[in-house]
Amino acid sequence: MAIVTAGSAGGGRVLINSVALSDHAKNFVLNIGQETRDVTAHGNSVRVFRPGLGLVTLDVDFFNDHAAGSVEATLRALVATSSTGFPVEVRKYNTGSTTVNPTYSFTAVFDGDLNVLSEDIGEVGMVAAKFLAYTGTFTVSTTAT
Amino acid sequence: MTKHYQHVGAAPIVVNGREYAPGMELREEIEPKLEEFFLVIGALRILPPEDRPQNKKGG
Repeated sequence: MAIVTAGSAGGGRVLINSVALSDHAKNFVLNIGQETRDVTAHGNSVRVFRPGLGLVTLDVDFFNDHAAGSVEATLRALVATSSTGFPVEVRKYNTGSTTVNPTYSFTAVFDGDLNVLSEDIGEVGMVAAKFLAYTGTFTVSTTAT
Repeated sequence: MTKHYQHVGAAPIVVNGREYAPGMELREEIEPKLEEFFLVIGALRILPPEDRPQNKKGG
């Protein structure tokens, strides 16, 4: 069993369309849950449900950086109505994949607001990004890479 | 087609499973859509022939 604090052993890995933004990611949350549908009918004494569609989301809060090829440039280029998806990948540790450090990846599309400037006096500029699945393929790999 | 690039961005990139830090030069065949992305965000520049190591004069 390994219970460790997030950020230990060098921290996690966040790869957005092949750009490694791990060192700007304050936190990230990968969700691979599913929806449900209420099928409660007459005769039921409790609400009952059936599985709905899967829902894959990746939320990342970045410290913003306007340098070439960094956070703002990467995210801004991914907001496009003609997007055909791009790969995203996260790991608990920024090291090779193993059974205790699986690589989670999927083809994503950017969702929602992209606040390229969010300036609060005295604070570090942050930018939140949300990625949703572009295809139905979600991969968990423990193969060393 | 394999091309010669220089990583001129601020964040590491991963190309064909290999990670490149800022400043590194790379010879890779990059899928056109990804190459365009790297060029647009300023992560890569295509090295002109005179800047490639094999064409630089020794000093």
